[in-house]
Amino acid sequence: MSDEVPSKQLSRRKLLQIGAVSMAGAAVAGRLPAAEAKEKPTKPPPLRFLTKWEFALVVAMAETIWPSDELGPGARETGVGYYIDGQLAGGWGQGHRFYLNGPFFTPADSGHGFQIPMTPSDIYRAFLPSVDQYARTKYGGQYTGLDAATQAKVMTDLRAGTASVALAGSTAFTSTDFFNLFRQNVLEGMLADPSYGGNKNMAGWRYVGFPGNPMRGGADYAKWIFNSKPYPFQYKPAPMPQDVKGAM
Amino acid sequence: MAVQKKVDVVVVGIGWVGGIIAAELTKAGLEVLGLERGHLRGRNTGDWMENKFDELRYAIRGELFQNTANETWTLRHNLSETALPMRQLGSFLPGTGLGGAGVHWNGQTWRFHPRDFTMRTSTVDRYGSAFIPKEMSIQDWGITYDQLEPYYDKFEYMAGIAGKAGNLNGQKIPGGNVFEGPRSREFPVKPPPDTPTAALFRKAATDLGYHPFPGPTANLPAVEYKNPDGITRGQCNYCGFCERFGCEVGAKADPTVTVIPVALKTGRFKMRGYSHVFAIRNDGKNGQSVLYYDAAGIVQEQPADVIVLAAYVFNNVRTLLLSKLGKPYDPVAGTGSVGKNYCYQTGGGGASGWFKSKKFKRYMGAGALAIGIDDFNADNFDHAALGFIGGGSVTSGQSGARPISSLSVPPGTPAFGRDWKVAVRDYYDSVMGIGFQGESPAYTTHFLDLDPNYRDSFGNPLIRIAFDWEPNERKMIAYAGTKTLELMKAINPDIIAGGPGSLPAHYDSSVYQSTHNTGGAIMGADPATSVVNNYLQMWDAPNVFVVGACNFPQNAGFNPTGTVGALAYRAAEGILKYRKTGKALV
Repeated sequence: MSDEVPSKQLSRRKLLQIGAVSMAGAAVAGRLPAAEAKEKPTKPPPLRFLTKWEFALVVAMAETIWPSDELGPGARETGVGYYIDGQLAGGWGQGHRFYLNGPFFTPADSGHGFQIPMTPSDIYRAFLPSVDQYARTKYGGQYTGLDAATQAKVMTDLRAGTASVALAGSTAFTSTDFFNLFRQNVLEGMLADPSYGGNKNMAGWRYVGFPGNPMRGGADYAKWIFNSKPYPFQYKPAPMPQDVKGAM
Repeated sequence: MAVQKKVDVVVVGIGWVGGIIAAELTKAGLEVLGLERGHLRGRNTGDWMENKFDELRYAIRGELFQNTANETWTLRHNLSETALPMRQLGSFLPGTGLGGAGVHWNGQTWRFHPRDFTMRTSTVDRYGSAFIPKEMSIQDWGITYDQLEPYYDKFEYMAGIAGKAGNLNGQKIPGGNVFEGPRSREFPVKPPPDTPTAALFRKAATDLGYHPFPGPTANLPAVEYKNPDGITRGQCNYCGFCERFGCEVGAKADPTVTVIPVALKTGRFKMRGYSHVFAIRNDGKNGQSVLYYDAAGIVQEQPADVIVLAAYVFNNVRTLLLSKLGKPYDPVAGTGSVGKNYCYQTGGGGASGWFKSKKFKRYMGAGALAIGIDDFNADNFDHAALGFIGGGSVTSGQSGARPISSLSVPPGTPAFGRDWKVAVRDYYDSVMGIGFQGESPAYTTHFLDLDPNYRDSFGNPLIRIAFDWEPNERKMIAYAGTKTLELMKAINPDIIAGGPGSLPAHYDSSVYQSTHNTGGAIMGADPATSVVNNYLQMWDAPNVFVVGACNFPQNAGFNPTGTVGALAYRAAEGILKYRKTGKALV
């Protein structure tokens, strides 16, 4: 984005308004070339729900789900940890749409979904230490310190429900439930609009080949959907259109 | 409690049903007030343009849907189980706010088959009464397809539905659905061409001797359509953000861009938002007023000559039960009718195919852009040797592959890590599916009542759903899976998943399946076994009309909105007749 901004005409305040400030910090000064600007370490955003320790574990676990390799960046580089932190701090994580009235029962049969009086943020907070405890007991070290293959083993155990970690008894919320919740959150962080803190540089979209905002090419899908020709978006996806006047 | 000024007609819920009835009655000169529990939305279609391409906000977090923190439903699989609340949305997604679920629907607009309206009689005639399982409480509708045809026609021309007729006045037309009932005229709009996956499906289905046709769609494929009310709408962009989203160009027919503006233009339609109706004050013979919570949570009373319940299935039924209007269904005694014959939609039995060297541009799409066959729906095939009743529509669509929810990898792929990541990239745009949407017959033990344990944020009991999958549907889904697999094999992708379909051990309220809940205020010819007559007028209170998918005695193998729209036009006609006579119409 920074190299598209006519920086000489824009004040820093204006850049803040269009949300370009972190990328454009160097460009504002008008001296550093874009490539050099990218290498300059940027200050990470503040955490809004997770502790530093929880955040490190979440990032490591997310990287196990969607690893970084020569095919493309993984969850760590694309900001999935910040995405999840934001979601846990926000309405969803705080259970704003969850029905949490009692009484609570352990379901007698399948098909009833979550039946515990906890929000997603409660669940993360309660579950993360159990994951780390399991990693230490079974595999001899904190999750963040294990090699990638061993981290994958922990994740496999969580998914299978063989990891002896569960909330509120053995059936109400299992490690499989947590795995499914966590994996879904990682997919969201990789593939939701970048405005939510993940999918940095639209890396997730570039990787799978999703063009993002369908209006970027002038609402031209009707010309392409009924034929087999490749759509020429050239892996330059675009985020949602932003209302510049209303930003910040 | 404040008593508001009396109106001719009060409509509870302003979605498709409320919008249609408001438009028809105000055009005829009546004063109509719409009470909407949600926001009046105030958005024009251009407002959707700015921020709607947000899968997380709308499709995952569900901004347009009912907030289950305030009001949800409880589920029990059998009568001895204690029902548990659905603590977040899952199986179905009712809307809230102006336009209701009509804003976030896909736009698939079907007519039910003539046989669907006479399901019990037709089944007995063809297979004998012993063919129907004892607990299966399927009923005839009290109206025939031919009686309802003019109202279907009216809905389709109002909404500008695109498609190809397969039966015009009894003449079968290849290329359309040759199994459908007779249409009095062609669709108002020509269907879109085949997408590349639709072309694959068409060839396979044709080679196998089936009868493929374009799915009828409310996503306007024409450059422009002007409906009989004078409303003009523009062409679909195939943006791929359709179901669960509002339409940024008004190409998807929805109440806010069709009937509601028509009603408002008369000057005789008023709307009140944040007005949550919970009961009808009545003397057991007629309704006098509706009671609702205003934005402050204070109870208000709205008197009216005619009361129309036009909310989603569950709220129409709950309002009747809380009002003590009509006789609640008792599954043990087999008496009463309010809450009876709750049905759903039976999914499963689909097939998927992955291609190593094809890309389909799946991110482009429209909610109802599909091709299908009807050879295995309803009683379009002989069931005598199959041991089950009913069928479903088989379709392959391209509704837009929003990435969070549309990653699809072949069976055997790990759930995470590098191998999964590779498969995600290789197949995100290289997969097609064939789906089956099955009928949901009624059973004596499937019904709605008021939950004894759980309440909404106003303190009223939640609706309690009694429902589970029964052996008949398990057989149907197993059979359906063999047919979708046959089609997929003929398409011949590199990797196939399919085969005899199966349903889970129990109906799962936490996994999205379909927002096609039906029944609970069913229509019929007999006051002892139905809630409303064939004008959707209550047998027990002639000035109360209850309208929507709650009227279906059982659910067909199609999306319900076309039939809901037809019933709304039928009800509007009935209300105008009632205004002249003041009596029961049947």
